[in-house]
Amino acid sequence: METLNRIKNMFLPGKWERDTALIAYKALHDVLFVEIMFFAVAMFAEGVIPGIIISHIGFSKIVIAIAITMVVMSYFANLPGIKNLEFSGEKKRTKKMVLAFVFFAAVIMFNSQFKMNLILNLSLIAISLLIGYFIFQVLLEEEKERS
Amino acid sequence: MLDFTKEIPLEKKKYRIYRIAQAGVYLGAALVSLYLADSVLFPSVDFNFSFADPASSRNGFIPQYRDGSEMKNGRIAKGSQIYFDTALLGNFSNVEISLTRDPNFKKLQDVKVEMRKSYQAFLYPEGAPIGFKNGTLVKNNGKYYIVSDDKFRQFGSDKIISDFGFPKDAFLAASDDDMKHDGTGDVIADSATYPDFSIFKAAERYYIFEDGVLHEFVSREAYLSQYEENQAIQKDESFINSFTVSENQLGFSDGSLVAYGTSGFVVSGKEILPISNAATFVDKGFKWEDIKNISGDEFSLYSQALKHFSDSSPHPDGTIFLTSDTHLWYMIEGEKKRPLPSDAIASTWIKGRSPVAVSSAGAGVLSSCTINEDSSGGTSCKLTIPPSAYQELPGVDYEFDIVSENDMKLTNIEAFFTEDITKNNLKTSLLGLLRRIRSNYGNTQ
Repeated sequence: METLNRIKNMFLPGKWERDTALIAYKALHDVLFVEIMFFAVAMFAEGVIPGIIISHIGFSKIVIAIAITMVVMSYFANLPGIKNLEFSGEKKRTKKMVLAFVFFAAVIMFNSQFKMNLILNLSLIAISLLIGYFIFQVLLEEEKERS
Repeated sequence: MLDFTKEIPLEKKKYRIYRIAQAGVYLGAALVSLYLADSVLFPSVDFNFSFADPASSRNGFIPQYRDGSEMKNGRIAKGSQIYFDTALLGNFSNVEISLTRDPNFKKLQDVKVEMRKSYQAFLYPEGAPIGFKNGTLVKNNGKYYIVSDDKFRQFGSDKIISDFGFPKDAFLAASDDDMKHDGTGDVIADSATYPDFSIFKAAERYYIFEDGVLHEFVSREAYLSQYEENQAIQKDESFINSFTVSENQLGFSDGSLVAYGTSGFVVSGKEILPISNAATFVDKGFKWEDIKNISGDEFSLYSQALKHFSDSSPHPDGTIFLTSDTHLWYMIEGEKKRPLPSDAIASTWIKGRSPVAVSSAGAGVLSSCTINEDSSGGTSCKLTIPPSAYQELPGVDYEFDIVSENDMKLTNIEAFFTEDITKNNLKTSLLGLLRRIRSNYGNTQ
């Protein structure tokens, strides 16, 4: 119980020095990057050789780790010292990330439908990406309206 | 170096701390990657059996007494031999056998563990030798015989043979030694009645005569899986009609490999066992060219077994093994490995299919160890699997015999296989992964 309270106290907003919180927040980005890379590589490996990863480590464990990291990151992002920071160059990076994501999603989908007719395979990928794009647009629209 | 949050400023000293933390994150990731690579490239496999829950699907094997008696509550009497089989592929070079004893029972002392490697059925105890198959026509020292009810029945004269219509070229030359494995029946003194197991062919159908009744083979292919074409006496339909023809048709010989649709099966008596997958087919030492495609009529003769024939299933009755190092033939029958004493005898049982290649060395003890709780304190011992065993010996089954000098009561048995980190094992693992990729992408349309 005492240990639990100590951990609880650690996460009280006032307990963090601004610089320590910034270091933790920056390092958490790296942790998240590593976890996402693991997840992507595991997804790809599973697609190529089914069972190669899942027989050693379940996908659920990686997903839970990513979720926990994101929750902790959002906690740090809302700390007073970090919340007020102004970010620049975000748009450019988002574009790059979206492109990388689209490419990876296309590869994964192509692989999962490998035994399908090539034209049908490519058409399904195009349709899926198009649906993804429109959903993204709708969400972006809502975001804009809210702000 | 990567910095995903360049826009977040840090003073130089703090930035160095961040870099150290970042290096720690990537070092941790590298270690996790190494651990995963080790698990994938040099895998370990754990088999367990719990005496508390013997019917559990989580049990990897079922230990049994060598003498066939029933095992109760993990209590094993001194001197009793128990054994279990684990089926697995790979270059496993070590196996640790751990016994968990009932804490209220005395310590484990002088518990000997022995390991063999082959196919589970080839590790069955040896039974009595088998002679020629019933119906075989044999000649020896100028005398002619038919094997009928496991006995040699000599034809009284050449005239009787020609009166019956047995083709002389169908008689198989047998040595004096070959003649020792079947009994001697009455001499066939006249051609009034055909001896049991005479074979007839009429209107492209094949029949075998037994106890005054004709039994028809379901197809020519089924007949050829049991006998030679020239063994059958050519008759017309009126001859067949003069006998009672049994409603029960005869199928393929036990151990035959058949395919219906896209599935492969092994014939075992009145059942056919569906083979789990192509890998199992290869692992079990079968040859693709031995598969016979069967028709719906032939398929309907059998009932399909509920349990699949997998890597952990023993070869069924009728399977014929040939040792590559000592050239000895064996046939599986009733959980016994029965020798077929010569090539001539074996040839009458193995028609149109290949034997499963084995090594007699695998049936011998490859490695042994002793558990002695008093001296070592532990309840496990390690067996080393020689490279010659896991690389060269055919078979996917490791069989372990356990015998104790004292009474013991066990709650759990564990067999933990590990691979050594060697260049050769790495090469094998990588080739295995390449094979899996090929099989995953191989059958594309």
